[in-house]
Amino acid sequence: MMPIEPGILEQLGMIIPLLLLVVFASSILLIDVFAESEDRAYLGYLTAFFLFVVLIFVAKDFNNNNVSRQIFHSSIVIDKFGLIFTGIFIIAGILTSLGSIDYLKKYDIAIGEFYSLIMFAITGMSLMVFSTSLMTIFVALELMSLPIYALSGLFRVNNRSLESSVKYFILGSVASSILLFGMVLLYGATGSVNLVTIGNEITTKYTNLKTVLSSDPIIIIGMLMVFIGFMFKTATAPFHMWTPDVYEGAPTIVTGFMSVAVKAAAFATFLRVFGLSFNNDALLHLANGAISNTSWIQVLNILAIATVIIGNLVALNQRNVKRILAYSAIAHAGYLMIGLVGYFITKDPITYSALVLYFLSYTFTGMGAFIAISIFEPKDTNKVMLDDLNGAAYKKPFVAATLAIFIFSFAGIPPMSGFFAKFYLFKSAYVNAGLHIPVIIALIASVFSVYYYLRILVHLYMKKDYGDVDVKDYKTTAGSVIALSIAGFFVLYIGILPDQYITIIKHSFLSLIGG
Amino acid sequence: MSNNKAVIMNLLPLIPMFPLIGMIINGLIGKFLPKKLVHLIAITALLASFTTSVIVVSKLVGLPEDSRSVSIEIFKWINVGSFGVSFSFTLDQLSSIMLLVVTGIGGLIHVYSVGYMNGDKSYSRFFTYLNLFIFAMLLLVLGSNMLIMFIGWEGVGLASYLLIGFWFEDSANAAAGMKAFIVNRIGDFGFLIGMFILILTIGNLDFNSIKIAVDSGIITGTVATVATMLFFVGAMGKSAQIPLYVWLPDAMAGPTPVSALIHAATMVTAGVYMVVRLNFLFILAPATMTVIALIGAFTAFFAASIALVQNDIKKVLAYSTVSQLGYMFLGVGVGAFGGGILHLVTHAFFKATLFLGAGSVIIGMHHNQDMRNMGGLKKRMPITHWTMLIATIAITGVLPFSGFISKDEIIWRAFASHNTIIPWINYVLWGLGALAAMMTSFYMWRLYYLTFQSGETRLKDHHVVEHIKESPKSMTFALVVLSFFAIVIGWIGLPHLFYHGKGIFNSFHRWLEPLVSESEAKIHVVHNTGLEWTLMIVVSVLVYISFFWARKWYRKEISVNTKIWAEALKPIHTLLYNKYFVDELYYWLIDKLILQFSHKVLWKTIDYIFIDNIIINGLVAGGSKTLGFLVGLFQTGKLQFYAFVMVAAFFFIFYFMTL
Repeated sequence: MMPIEPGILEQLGMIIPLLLLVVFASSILLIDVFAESEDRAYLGYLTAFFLFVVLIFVAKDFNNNNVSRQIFHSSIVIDKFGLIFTGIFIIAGILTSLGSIDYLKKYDIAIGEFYSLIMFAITGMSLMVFSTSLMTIFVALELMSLPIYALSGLFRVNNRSLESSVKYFILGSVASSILLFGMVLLYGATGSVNLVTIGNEITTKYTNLKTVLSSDPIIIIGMLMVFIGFMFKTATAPFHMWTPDVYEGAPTIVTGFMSVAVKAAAFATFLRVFGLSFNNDALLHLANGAISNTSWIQVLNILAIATVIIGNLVALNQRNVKRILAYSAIAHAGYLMIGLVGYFITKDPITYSALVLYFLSYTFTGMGAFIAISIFEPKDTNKVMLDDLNGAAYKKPFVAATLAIFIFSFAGIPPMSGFFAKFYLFKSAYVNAGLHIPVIIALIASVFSVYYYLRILVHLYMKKDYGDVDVKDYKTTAGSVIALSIAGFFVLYIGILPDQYITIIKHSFLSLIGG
Repeated sequence: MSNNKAVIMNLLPLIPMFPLIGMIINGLIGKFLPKKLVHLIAITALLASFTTSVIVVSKLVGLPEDSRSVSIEIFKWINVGSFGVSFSFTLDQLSSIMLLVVTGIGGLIHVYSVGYMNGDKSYSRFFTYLNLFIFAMLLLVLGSNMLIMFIGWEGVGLASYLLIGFWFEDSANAAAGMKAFIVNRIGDFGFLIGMFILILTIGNLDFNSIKIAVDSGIITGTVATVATMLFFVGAMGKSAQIPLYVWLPDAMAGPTPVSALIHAATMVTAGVYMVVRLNFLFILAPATMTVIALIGAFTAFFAASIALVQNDIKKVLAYSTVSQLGYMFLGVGVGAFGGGILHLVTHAFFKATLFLGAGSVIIGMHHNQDMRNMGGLKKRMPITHWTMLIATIAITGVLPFSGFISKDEIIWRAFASHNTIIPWINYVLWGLGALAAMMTSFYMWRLYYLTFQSGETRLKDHHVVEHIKESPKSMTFALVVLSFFAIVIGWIGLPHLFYHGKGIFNSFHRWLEPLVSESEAKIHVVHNTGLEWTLMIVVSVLVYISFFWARKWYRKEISVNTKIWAEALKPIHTLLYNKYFVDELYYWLIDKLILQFSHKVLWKTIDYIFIDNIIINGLVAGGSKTLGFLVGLFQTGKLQFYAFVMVAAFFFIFYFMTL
C-alpha cells in the first residue's frame, strides 16, 4: 500500500532542513579555503548561526506539519518525531560550535573542516531519524559516523587522539558490518528494505504461525544484529568497551558531541526501527517470552542493568575527568536503555515523552559539562585529571558555576533538569512499564554516582593548591560563555517548567504512530 | 470566614517567595554590595516571610475547625495523561506549625549569623545559601503533594551540602559535605521508590488523594507497609536515624548557625514531619510503626551514650540531636503523632539555643571547640551562660521547662501504647527512652559544667584567655529570644495530668487533633493516671540522679575520684569515644567492598590484568610483535579484545534468545 507521493519539488521542499545543512556545511568548507585571515574563530559563530537558521526551519516544519508523509519512494518520512530529534542534534551542534572556538584555539587547530564535519555528522543523524528504509538508515549511519571518526582524530599529532580515531573506526566498522548483515538477513527474509513493509511482512507471515518463527530464526538473527549495531552506537554493555578509550582520546569537545548527539541519534533510530518493523503481535509474543524461554525484552533489560552498574561503579575509581564522564555517559545510556525498554513494553506517550525529555535534558547537561571541562583542560595535553581542576573555580568562577549546575543535573538534584528527567524516566519505567527491578537497581547505582560527580566539584571548589596551570590556558571568549549560558539556562528552565516540553514531545508521539 | 480563606490564598505563595527573592539578589549581585545591605536583604526576606506566616496562621485560626486546610495551586507543573502534579501549597494545622518554626527560628538565626559570620570573606554567599535553604524548607513544608515535598527535601539537602562545605579550605568539610550528600541519596532512593509505588497504586501523589485512597480502602495494608517502609528509609537519611545517622555529626564541620538551623531545628526534623503528614498511611502499617518506634528508641539510646564522652562541644550537641530525633520517631512510631511534633517544636527552640550558645562560646574561645580547654566561662560570657543553662534544663527534662513536657509525653506513650505485633515491646521502648533521658541529663550537665563552671579557663594560651568576652548583640539577642521560648513553648501542650481545660495550655493537641486523631484512635493506649504519675517520677528521678552525678564529677576541677572511675571504665569509654567504631565499619565496608570491587574486579581484573596480561600480552602480542605501529595500537587499547567481546556477546545473546 504505497501512499501517493507528492511531486519532486514538494518532496525537496519537505527536506529543506537537510538540504540546508549540506549547503551550509559545504559553504563553510569553501569559506575556509578562500578566507585570508589565519583566525578561524568566526567560522564557529557562522556555523552556530547557520545551524540556528536550520533550527528555525525545523521548528517551522514542526509547527506546520501535522501529517507525517512518506517521500522518496517511502525511504524517508518527515514527521514530528524526526523533527524533534533533528532539533536536538542541531542544538548539540550549536553548543559544540560555539564551545569549540576557544578549545581549538588552545590547540592551535583553527580549521574550518571541524565545523563542516560537525554539520555533515548532523546531516547524517537527521537523515537517519527520518529514514524508514534500511538502506537509507545504513547510508545515514555512515554519513554520521565517518565525520565523527575524523573528528576524534582531529589532533593529528596527539597519539591518544589518533588511537581513539582508529579504534573507533575499526570497532565502528565491526558494528556497521554486523548491522549491515542483519539488514541483509531481514531483506532476505521479507523481500523488502522498507521498514513498514518488513513489519507487514512479518505480521502476515507469522502472526498465526508462532512456531514457524522459532524454527525460522533468520528474522530473529537479523533483528538481533540490527539491535547490536545500535547498541554499539548507544554504548550499551557489553558493547560499551570502546567508549572510555575513545571518549578519553578524542578532543574533549568532540567527546561531548559524541556522547550527546551520536547517542541520541542511535537511540532514536533504534526506536524508529523497532516501532515500524518489529511492532507486531508475533514479535511481541516473542518479546514476552511466549516462544523462547528468554525474551529479548528481558535480554535488553539485563543489558541495561549491566550498563548502569558498570558505568557507575567503574567511574568511582577514575581520576581522569574525561574518563569519569565517559563512564557516566555509559551509566546514562543504561538509564536511557531502561526507558527505551519501558517504551517497547508500553508504547504509550508517557514512556515516550520521558525518554525524549531525558535526551533534551541530557543534551544541554552533557554538552555544557564537556564545554566547561574543555576550558579547564591544560594546554596541549588532551586530558583533564581531577587535580588539574584544583581551585579552578577561583580563576573562572562563571565557568565553574555552570559546571556545578551541569554536575548537579547529572546527579539528578532539583531544580536542575537532570532531576526531573530522571524522575520522570524512572517513574514511567517503574509505574507505566512495570520495570521494577531495573529501576530499583538503577536508583541504587545512581547513589554511587553522587560520589564521583561531587568529587569533581570538590576539586573545583574545595582544593586550595591551584596547581601550576597558567591562567592563560583558561581563556574564554564570547563563544564559550554564550554556549555555557544557553546550556545552563535550559538546564534550569527545563528542570523548573518541564510541562511545555512534555506537551511538545507528546505531539511528536502522535506522528510517530501515524508514520 | 471565606474572607479569611481568600487572604490565606493570596498570601501563602508569598511566604517562600521572599527568601527566593533574597537568594536571587544576594546570589547575583551580593558580592558587590556592602555587607550591611547583604544581611539586611536576607533578614528582611525572612522577616517578611515570618510576618506573612503569622498573618496566614492567624487567619487559619479564624476558620472553623473542620475547614482548616487551604490549598492553592500556583501552576500546573506536569500534566501527562493520567499523571498530573500541580505546584501547589497547602496550609493546614501541621504545616502552619512548621511554617512558624522555620521562619521564626530561621529569622533569629539569620540575625545571629550577622554577628557570627562577621569578618568572613564569603559573607554574601553564606546568606545566599541560607535563604536558599529557607526557600527549600518552605517548599518541603508547604507542598501539597509528595513530589513538591521531595523537591524541597532535595533542595534542603543541596543547601545543607553547600553550607557544610562552606569553609572549604578544610578538606574535612568537603568530605563531610560529600558524606551527608551520599547518605541522603540512600534515603532518597527509598523515598523515590515509595513514591513510585504510590503512583502505581493510586496514580497520584497528592496528600489528599492518598488520604482518600486510604479511607476508601484502595491502599491495602501490604502496599502501605512497603511504601511506608521505603519512606522511612528516606526519613532515616534525612533525620539521621540508625543506620544512616553517620553524616550528621560530621556535618558539624559547617558554620555553627548552620548547625543550629539545618542540623538541629529544621531540616533534620523533615523525616518526622513527613511521617506525621502521612500519618493515615503509616497507621495502616503496624509493622512499619514498630520498626520506626524501635529504631527511634535505639537511636535515642545509642546516640546519647556516644554523647556521654565526646569532648568537642559541637559533637556532643550533634549526638544529642540524633538522640532527640530518635525520641521524635519513638513518639510517632507509637502513634503519638502530636507528641512527636510537640517535641519537634520544643527541641527546635532549646537545641537552637544550645547550638547558638555553643557558637557564641566557640567565637569567644577563638574557634576552639574542645571542652577540656574551656571552663569558667560563666563570668566571661554571662548572657551565653544563662541562656545555655535554661536550654540545658529544658533539654534534660525538668518541669516546667518545655523539654520535660514533650519528652514525658513520648516516654509515657511508649509505655502505654499497645503494640499488636510484639505485645511486650512497650517495656523495651520505655526502658530505652528512660535510660536515654538519664544519659541526656548527664551529658548535658557535663557539657554545662565543663564549659561554664569548673574553675578557670583551662586554655594554655593566656593571650586568648584575656580576650574571651561576651558575643555581640546580634548573637545574644537571638539567644535570649530562643531561650525564652525554650522555657514556655511547652506550655501549649501540657499533659492532661496537669491540665484538663480547653484553654491555651493544651491548645497544641486540640489544634492538631483534626489531622491525627483518627490515626491516634487506632492505637490502643492504656489510661492509668497512677501509673503515669509513677513513671513520670521514675524518669525524673533518673534525670536528677545523673544531674548530681555529673555535678559531682565536673563541677570543680576534675578530681582524683573521677580519674579512678575513668580508669575502671576505660574499655567502655574507648568504645563510646570512638562511636562504637561505626564509621570505621562503614568505611571498611565501602572501601573493601565497593571501591575495591570497582577497582580490583571491574576495573583492574577485567581491564588490566585480564585483558592486558592474558589476552594482549599472551595471545595477541605473542604472535604479532613485528607489526609495529598497529600492534602498539592494539596493545594499549585492547582493540581485538573489544571486537572479540562484541562478537561473543552477539552469540551469547542469540543463544539465550533462541534457546
